Amino acid sequence: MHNGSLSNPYSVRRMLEPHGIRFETDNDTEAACRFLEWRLREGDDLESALQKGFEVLDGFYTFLIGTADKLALIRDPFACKPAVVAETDDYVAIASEFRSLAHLPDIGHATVFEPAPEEIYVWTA
Amino acid sequence: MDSLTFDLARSSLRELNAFLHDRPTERGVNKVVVLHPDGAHNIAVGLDCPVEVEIVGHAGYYAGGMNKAARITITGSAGTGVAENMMSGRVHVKGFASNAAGASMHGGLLVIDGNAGLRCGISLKGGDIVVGGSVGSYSAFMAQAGRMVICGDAGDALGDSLYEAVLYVKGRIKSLGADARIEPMSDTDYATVAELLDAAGMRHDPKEFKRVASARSLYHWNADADQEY
Repeated sequence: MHNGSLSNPYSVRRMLEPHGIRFETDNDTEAACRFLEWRLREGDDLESALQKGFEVLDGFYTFLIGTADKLALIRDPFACKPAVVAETDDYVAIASEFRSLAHLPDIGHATVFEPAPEEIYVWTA
Repeated sequence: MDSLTFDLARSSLRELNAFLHDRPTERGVNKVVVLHPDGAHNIAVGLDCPVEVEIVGHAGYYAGGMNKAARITITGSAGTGVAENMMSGRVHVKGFASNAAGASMHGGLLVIDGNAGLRCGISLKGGDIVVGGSVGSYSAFMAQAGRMVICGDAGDALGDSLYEAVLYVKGRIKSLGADARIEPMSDTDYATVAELLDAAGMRHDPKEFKRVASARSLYHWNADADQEY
Protein backbone atom coordinates (compact mmCIF):
# COMPACT_ATOMS: atom_id res chain seq x y z
CA MET A 1 0.00 0.00 0.00
CA HIS A 2 1.43 3.36 -1.01
CA ASN A 3 0.60 6.91 -0.11
CA GLY A 4 2.71 9.27 -2.19
CA SER A 5 4.28 9.52 -5.59
CA LEU A 6 7.65 8.31 -6.82
CA SER A 7 9.73 10.51 -9.07
CA ASN A 8 11.75 7.72 -10.68
CA PRO A 9 9.39 4.80 -11.39
CA TYR A 10 10.45 4.53 -15.04
CA SER A 11 14.15 4.33 -14.29
CA VAL A 12 13.41 1.67 -11.67
CA ARG A 13 11.39 -0.19 -14.28
CA ARG A 14 14.14 0.11 -16.91
CA MET A 15 16.59 -1.26 -14.36
CA LEU A 16 14.32 -4.21 -13.43
CA GLU A 17 13.05 -5.37 -16.83
CA PRO A 18 16.42 -6.76 -17.99
CA HIS A 19 16.32 -8.93 -14.83
CA GLY A 20 13.12 -10.54 -16.10
CA ILE A 21 10.77 -8.60 -13.82
CA ARG A 22 7.48 -8.04 -15.64
CA PHE A 23 5.08 -5.12 -15.13
CA GLU A 24 1.31 -5.09 -15.48
CA THR A 25 0.75 -1.33 -15.18
CA ASP A 26 2.54 2.02 -15.52
CA ASN A 27 1.85 2.76 -11.88
CA ASP A 28 4.67 4.09 -9.69
CA THR A 29 3.56 1.90 -6.80
CA GLU A 30 4.10 -1.17 -8.94
CA ALA A 31 7.69 -0.05 -9.58
CA ALA A 32 8.31 -0.11 -5.83
CA CYS A 33 6.59 -3.48 -5.43
CA ARG A 34 8.54 -5.00 -8.31
CA PHE A 35 11.77 -3.63 -6.91
CA LEU A 36 11.09 -5.38 -3.60
CA GLU A 37 9.98 -8.53 -5.45
CA TRP A 38 13.32 -8.53 -7.27
CA ARG A 39 15.37 -8.03 -4.09
CA LEU A 40 13.46 -10.79 -2.28
CA ARG A 41 13.94 -13.07 -5.29
CA GLU A 42 17.67 -12.35 -5.15
CA GLY A 43 17.75 -13.59 -1.58
CA ASP A 44 17.41 -10.43 0.50
CA ASP A 45 15.25 -10.59 3.57
CA LEU A 46 12.50 -7.98 3.77
CA GLU A 47 14.54 -5.61 5.94
CA SER A 48 17.55 -5.63 3.58
CA ALA A 49 15.27 -5.21 0.57
CA LEU A 50 13.68 -2.15 2.18
CA GLN A 51 17.08 -0.74 3.11
CA LYS A 52 18.09 -0.96 -0.56
CA GLY A 53 14.74 0.62 -1.40
CA PHE A 54 15.78 3.76 0.51
CA GLU A 55 18.72 4.09 -1.90
CA VAL A 56 16.83 3.36 -5.12
CA LEU A 57 13.28 4.69 -4.70
CA ASP A 58 13.05 8.45 -5.01
CA GLY A 59 10.04 10.58 -4.20
CA PHE A 60 7.36 10.73 -1.55
CA TYR A 61 6.07 7.61 0.10
CA THR A 62 4.65 5.94 3.09
CA PHE A 63 4.73 2.24 2.21
CA LEU A 64 2.97 -0.58 4.00
CA ILE A 65 4.29 -3.91 2.77
CA GLY A 66 2.91 -7.34 3.59
CA THR A 67 4.62 -10.69 2.99
CA ALA A 68 3.45 -14.14 4.05
CA ASP A 69 4.63 -13.60 7.62
CA LYS A 70 5.64 -9.95 7.99
CA LEU A 71 4.18 -6.48 7.88
CA ALA A 72 6.56 -3.58 7.26
CA LEU A 73 6.15 0.18 7.33
CA ILE A 74 8.55 2.80 5.93
CA ARG A 75 8.44 6.54 5.21
CA ASP A 76 10.56 8.65 2.90
CA PRO A 77 13.37 10.82 4.37
CA PHE A 78 11.19 13.94 4.34
CA ALA A 79 8.19 12.23 5.98
CA CYS A 80 6.08 13.88 3.32
CA LYS A 81 3.15 11.56 3.80
CA PRO A 82 1.61 11.07 7.20
CA ALA A 83 1.48 7.89 9.24
CA VAL A 84 0.55 6.97 12.77
CA VAL A 85 0.70 3.60 14.53
CA ALA A 86 -1.29 2.24 17.47
CA GLU A 87 -0.09 -0.95 19.12
CA THR A 88 -1.75 -3.08 21.77
CA ASP A 89 -1.14 -6.68 22.82
CA ASP A 90 -3.91 -7.66 20.40
CA TYR A 91 -3.30 -5.60 17.29
CA VAL A 92 -1.19 -3.19 15.30
CA ALA A 93 -3.19 -0.49 13.54
CA ILE A 94 -1.68 1.88 10.98
CA ALA A 95 -3.34 4.90 9.41
CA SER A 96 -2.52 8.32 8.05
CA GLU A 97 -4.13 10.03 11.03
CA PHE A 98 -5.20 9.20 14.54
CA ARG A 99 -8.75 10.11 13.48
CA SER A 100 -9.04 6.72 11.79
CA LEU A 101 -7.78 4.84 14.84
CA ALA A 102 -9.79 6.68 17.48
CA HIS A 103 -12.65 4.20 17.58
CA LEU A 104 -10.62 0.99 17.79
CA PRO A 105 -11.13 -1.20 20.84
CA ASP A 106 -8.89 -0.39 23.79
CA ILE A 107 -7.30 2.50 21.87
CA GLY A 108 -7.03 4.42 25.13
CA HIS A 109 -4.38 1.95 26.27
CA ALA A 110 -2.60 1.60 22.93
CA THR A 111 0.94 2.80 22.41
CA VAL A 112 0.53 5.49 19.77
CA PHE A 113 3.55 6.74 17.85
CA GLU A 114 4.53 8.39 14.63
CA PRO A 115 6.99 6.31 12.60
CA ALA A 116 10.24 8.15 11.89
CA PRO A 117 11.43 8.77 8.33
CA GLU A 118 13.83 6.23 6.81
CA GLU A 119 13.28 3.79 9.66
CA ILE A 120 12.12 0.23 9.03
CA TYR A 121 9.27 -0.99 11.22
CA VAL A 122 8.54 -4.71 10.94
CA TRP A 123 5.92 -6.84 12.69
CA THR A 124 6.22 -10.61 12.38
CA ALA A 125 3.20 -12.91 12.52
CA MET B 1 -19.96 28.71 35.83
CA ASP B 2 -16.19 28.72 35.76
CA SER B 3 -15.54 25.63 33.69
CA LEU B 4 -17.40 23.98 30.83
CA THR B 5 -16.96 20.58 29.17
CA PHE B 6 -17.44 19.90 25.45
CA ASP B 7 -17.64 16.27 24.45
CA LEU B 8 -16.77 16.07 20.75
CA ALA B 9 -18.48 12.68 20.62
CA ARG B 10 -21.72 14.66 21.17
CA SER B 11 -21.03 18.24 20.03
CA SER B 12 -19.58 19.31 16.72
CA LEU B 13 -16.15 20.86 16.42
CA ARG B 14 -17.76 23.94 14.91
CA GLU B 15 -19.92 24.41 18.00
CA LEU B 16 -16.82 24.17 20.18
CA ASN B 17 -14.78 26.63 18.14
CA ALA B 18 -17.71 29.07 17.82
CA PHE B 19 -18.09 28.99 21.60
CA LEU B 20 -14.36 29.58 22.10
CA HIS B 21 -14.39 32.48 19.61
CA ASP B 22 -17.26 34.15 21.40
CA ARG B 23 -15.03 35.47 24.20
CA PRO B 24 -16.08 32.96 26.87
CA THR B 25 -14.04 34.63 29.61
CA GLU B 26 -16.26 37.72 29.34
CA ARG B 27 -19.18 35.44 30.19
CA GLY B 28 -17.48 33.88 33.17
CA VAL B 29 -16.14 30.70 31.54
CA ASN B 30 -12.43 30.58 32.24
CA LYS B 31 -11.79 26.95 31.36
CA VAL B 32 -13.09 24.63 28.66
CA VAL B 33 -12.39 20.89 28.76
CA VAL B 34 -12.60 19.04 25.45
CA LEU B 35 -13.35 15.33 25.64
CA HIS B 36 -13.02 12.79 22.81
CA PRO B 37 -10.99 14.98 20.45
CA ASP B 38 -10.19 11.72 18.60
CA GLY B 39 -7.72 13.36 16.24
CA ALA B 40 -10.11 16.01 14.92
CA HIS B 41 -8.42 18.83 13.01
CA ASN B 42 -8.46 22.53 13.90
CA ILE B 43 -9.42 22.17 17.56
CA ALA B 44 -9.26 25.51 19.40
CA VAL B 45 -7.82 27.49 16.48
CA GLY B 46 -7.81 31.26 16.34
CA LEU B 47 -8.64 31.88 20.00
CA ASP B 48 -8.27 35.49 21.06
CA CYS B 49 -9.16 35.59 24.74
CA PRO B 50 -7.23 34.26 27.73
CA VAL B 51 -9.32 31.13 28.20
CA GLU B 52 -7.80 27.87 29.38
CA VAL B 53 -8.51 24.87 27.14
CA GLU B 54 -7.71 21.29 28.07
CA ILE B 55 -7.96 18.78 25.24
CA VAL B 56 -8.12 15.32 26.78
CA GLY B 57 -6.68 12.90 24.22
CA HIS B 58 -5.07 13.13 20.80
CA ALA B 59 -5.59 16.19 18.59
CA GLY B 60 -5.42 16.29 14.79
CA TYR B 61 -3.86 18.94 12.54
CA TYR B 62 -3.39 22.60 13.50
CA ALA B 63 -4.58 22.33 17.10
CA GLY B 64 -4.20 25.72 18.78
CA GLY B 65 -3.22 27.30 15.48
CA MET B 66 -3.16 31.11 15.31
CA ASN B 67 -3.63 31.18 19.07
CA LYS B 68 -3.74 34.56 20.76
CA ALA B 69 -3.80 34.68 24.56
CA ALA B 70 -5.34 31.27 25.26
CA ARG B 71 -3.61 28.58 27.30
CA ILE B 72 -4.18 25.27 25.56
CA THR B 73 -3.12 21.86 26.87
CA ILE B 74 -3.29 18.64 24.86
CA THR B 75 -2.92 15.62 27.11
CA GLY B 76 -2.16 13.25 24.21
CA SER B 77 -0.33 13.82 20.95
CA ALA B 78 -0.82 16.54 18.35
CA GLY B 79 -0.95 16.19 14.58
CA THR B 80 0.76 18.31 11.95
CA GLY B 81 1.09 22.03 12.55
CA VAL B 82 0.22 22.30 16.23
CA ALA B 83 0.25 25.96 17.33
CA GLU B 84 1.19 27.06 13.83
CA ASN B 85 1.20 30.82 13.52
CA MET B 86 0.61 31.29 17.26
CA MET B 87 0.72 34.99 18.17
CA SER B 88 0.73 34.78 21.97
CA GLY B 89 -0.45 32.54 24.77
CA ARG B 90 0.68 29.00 25.39
CA VAL B 91 0.19 25.57 23.85
CA HIS B 92 1.37 22.52 25.79
CA VAL B 93 1.46 19.06 24.18
CA LYS B 94 2.02 16.35 26.76
CA GLY B 95 2.61 13.61 24.19
CA PHE B 96 4.48 13.86 20.90
CA ALA B 97 3.88 16.36 18.11
CA SER B 98 3.91 15.58 14.40
CA ASN B 99 5.56 17.62 11.65
CA ALA B 100 5.76 21.41 11.48
CA ALA B 101 4.99 22.03 15.15
CA GLY B 102 5.00 25.76 15.83
CA ALA B 103 5.48 26.59 12.16
CA SER B 104 5.60 30.31 11.51
CA MET B 105 4.92 31.17 15.16
CA HIS B 106 5.11 34.89 15.98
CA GLY B 107 4.88 34.73 19.76
CA GLY B 108 3.80 32.75 22.78
CA LEU B 109 5.22 29.53 24.15
CA LEU B 110 4.87 26.06 22.65
CA VAL B 111 5.87 23.22 24.97
CA ILE B 112 6.12 19.64 23.70
CA ASP B 113 6.93 17.10 26.38
CA GLY B 114 7.66 14.28 23.92
CA ASN B 115 9.36 14.30 20.53
CA ALA B 116 8.53 16.66 17.69
CA GLY B 117 8.52 15.54 14.06
CA LEU B 118 10.27 17.12 11.11
CA ARG B 119 10.37 20.86 10.43
CA CYS B 120 9.59 21.87 14.02
CA GLY B 121 9.71 25.67 14.26
CA ILE B 122 10.02 26.13 10.50
CA SER B 123 9.96 29.83 9.63
CA LEU B 124 9.72 30.78 13.30
CA LYS B 125 9.09 34.52 13.52
CA GLY B 126 9.07 34.94 17.28
CA GLY B 127 8.01 33.25 20.47
CA ASP B 128 9.54 30.23 22.12
CA ILE B 129 9.43 26.48 21.57
CA VAL B 130 10.63 24.01 24.20
CA VAL B 131 10.80 20.34 23.22
CA GLY B 132 11.39 17.78 25.96
CA GLY B 133 12.37 15.08 23.47
CA SER B 134 14.05 15.22 20.08
CA VAL B 135 13.18 17.12 16.92
CA GLY B 136 13.21 15.76 13.37
CA SER B 137 15.13 16.98 10.35
CA TYR B 138 14.89 20.52 8.93
CA SER B 139 13.79 21.98 12.25
CA ALA B 140 14.03 25.78 12.54
CA PHE B 141 14.44 26.03 8.76
CA MET B 142 14.60 29.74 7.88
CA ALA B 143 13.69 30.69 11.45
CA GLN B 144 13.74 34.47 11.63
CA ALA B 145 13.27 35.28 15.31
CA GLY B 146 12.41 33.54 18.56
CA ARG B 147 14.06 30.82 20.57
CA MET B 148 13.99 27.03 20.60
CA VAL B 149 15.17 24.74 23.37
CA ILE B 150 15.62 21.09 22.40
CA CYS B 151 16.30 18.77 25.31
CA GLY B 152 16.88 15.68 23.15
CA ASP B 153 18.60 15.31 19.78
CA ALA B 154 18.13 17.15 16.49
CA GLY B 155 17.88 15.53 13.06
CA ASP B 156 19.52 16.59 9.80
CA ALA B 157 19.93 20.19 8.65
CA LEU B 158 19.07 21.87 11.93
CA GLY B 159 18.63 25.61 11.46
CA ASP B 160 19.14 25.61 7.71
CA SER B 161 19.21 29.18 6.36
CA LEU B 162 18.68 30.51 9.87
CA TYR B 163 18.11 34.24 10.35
CA GLU B 164 18.06 35.61 13.91
CA ALA B 165 16.32 32.83 15.83
CA VAL B 166 18.56 31.09 18.37
CA LEU B 167 18.45 27.37 19.11
CA TYR B 168 19.67 25.58 22.21
CA VAL B 169 20.27 21.83 21.95
CA LYS B 170 21.19 19.46 24.75
CA GLY B 171 21.59 16.24 22.76
CA ARG B 172 23.29 15.24 19.55
CA ILE B 173 22.84 17.27 16.37
CA LYS B 174 22.86 14.92 13.39
CA SER B 175 23.83 17.75 11.06
CA LEU B 176 23.59 21.52 10.87
CA GLY B 177 21.94 23.20 7.91
CA ALA B 178 23.55 25.78 5.64
CA ASP B 179 24.73 28.85 7.55
CA ALA B 180 23.89 27.41 11.00
CA ARG B 181 26.80 27.14 13.41
CA ILE B 182 27.48 26.24 17.01
CA GLU B 183 28.47 29.28 19.05
CA PRO B 184 29.77 29.68 22.59
CA MET B 185 27.17 30.00 25.36
CA SER B 186 27.19 33.32 27.20
CA ASP B 187 25.75 34.00 30.64
CA THR B 188 22.71 35.48 28.88
CA ASP B 189 22.27 32.21 26.98
CA TYR B 190 22.42 30.13 30.18
CA ALA B 191 19.85 32.45 31.75
CA THR B 192 17.62 32.17 28.66
CA VAL B 193 17.73 28.37 28.72
CA ALA B 194 17.02 28.32 32.46
CA GLU B 195 14.09 30.71 32.00
CA LEU B 196 12.55 28.69 29.15
CA LEU B 197 13.03 25.33 30.89
CA ASP B 198 11.41 26.80 33.97
CA ALA B 199 8.47 28.14 31.91
CA ALA B 200 8.07 24.68 30.35
CA GLY B 201 8.34 22.90 33.68
CA MET B 202 11.35 20.85 32.59
CA ARG B 203 14.42 20.10 34.64
CA HIS B 204 17.76 20.10 32.83
CA ASP B 205 21.09 21.72 33.51
CA PRO B 206 21.46 24.76 31.19
CA LYS B 207 25.21 24.12 31.20
CA GLU B 208 24.60 21.06 29.03
CA PHE B 209 23.07 23.01 26.14
CA LYS B 210 24.79 24.21 22.97
CA ARG B 211 23.87 27.41 21.17
CA VAL B 212 23.13 27.26 17.44
CA ALA B 213 22.75 30.52 15.54
CA SER B 214 23.26 31.97 12.09
CA ALA B 215 26.74 32.57 10.72
CA ARG B 216 25.02 35.26 8.60
CA SER B 217 27.02 34.31 5.53
CA LEU B 218 23.82 34.05 3.48
CA TYR B 219 22.76 37.59 4.32
CA HIS B 220 24.61 39.07 1.37
CA TRP B 221 25.02 37.66 -2.08
CA ASN B 222 28.49 36.34 -2.72
CA ALA B 223 29.17 35.61 -6.39
CA ASP B 224 32.43 33.82 -5.52
CA ALA B 225 30.62 31.27 -3.34
CA ASP B 226 29.27 29.63 -6.51
CA GLN B 227 26.14 28.53 -4.62
CA GLU B 228 28.27 26.54 -2.15
CA TYR B 229 27.57 27.46 1.46
